Amino acid sequence: MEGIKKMEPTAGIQGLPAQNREEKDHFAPSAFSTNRKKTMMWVFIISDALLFGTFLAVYTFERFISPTWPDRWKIFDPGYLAVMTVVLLSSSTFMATAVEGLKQGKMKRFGFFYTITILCGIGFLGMQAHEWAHFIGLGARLNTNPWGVPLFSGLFFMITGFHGFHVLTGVLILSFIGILKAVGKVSDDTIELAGMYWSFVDLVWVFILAVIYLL
Amino acid sequence: MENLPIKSEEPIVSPKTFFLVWVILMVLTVFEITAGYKGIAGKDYLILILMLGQAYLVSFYFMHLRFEKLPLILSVVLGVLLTIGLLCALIIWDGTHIIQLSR
Repeated sequence: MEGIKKMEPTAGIQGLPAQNREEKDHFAPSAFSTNRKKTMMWVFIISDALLFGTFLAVYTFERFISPTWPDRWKIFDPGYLAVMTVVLLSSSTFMATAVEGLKQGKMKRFGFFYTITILCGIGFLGMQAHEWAHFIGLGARLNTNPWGVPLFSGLFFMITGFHGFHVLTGVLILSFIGILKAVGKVSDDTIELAGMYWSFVDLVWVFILAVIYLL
Repeated sequence: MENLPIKSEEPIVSPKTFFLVWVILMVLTVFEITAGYKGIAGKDYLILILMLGQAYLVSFYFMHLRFEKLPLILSVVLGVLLTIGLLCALIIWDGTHIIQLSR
């Protein structure tokens, strides 16, 4: 960044020819009119979406070819599930609010909602750990379970495990970036990108909730 | 570090909008889980529609997709949908083939 600036102090970030400067389109930082970091974050999110898309497609396929499938409501509690969903969806809302507060320069609002976001993430992880303990306590293992369809518990552990790991990573990223932000070492853009990742984790849960638990 | 000199022109979204989106999300969640638990007729379609509604709200408001330029929106939405569609087709093709082999 600094190097480019020294080269052309008044130009845009791409070192465009001077005659193009007044034209707004040539100023666009990337083909999508977002800055490049954000475009690449979208590329990452699409690739990550494909991972979960494949998982859920495999789950659905196995379910269709399997003669029976366990009744989820004999295993999981709908109220507990609702609380988990509410916690994660709320944390995503808090994160979006925090990022907006940051963009408007309202640091108090940002700090408040950012902290709640992390706490909600930790809360969700705790609830998921509890659910896993409950599920394992009923006899579910990666390769066997008492409901007769071994792949059910295997895929459940795989998919919710991957999602839980994404939540854990999100909590770590948010905490780390939050500390760096507090000492002024990261830009607002980075926080926004972390917010996009966090919302993506929430988006994945929406699909997991419907496909694994409800359908 | 500092911000990029040129940022995309994003409109400011008020907390009210996010609160409204949150309320809608909560309502959809309650409907979805209730429908799944009660097992009402046609619940699968209802759940899928509610799921897509939630996904729309999260991606278009919380991930700011609604406030991006059309090329980015199309790239993300169509890119994800088409590639996942392709993956599903390949999984079904490969899976049925393996099942036939094992019989």
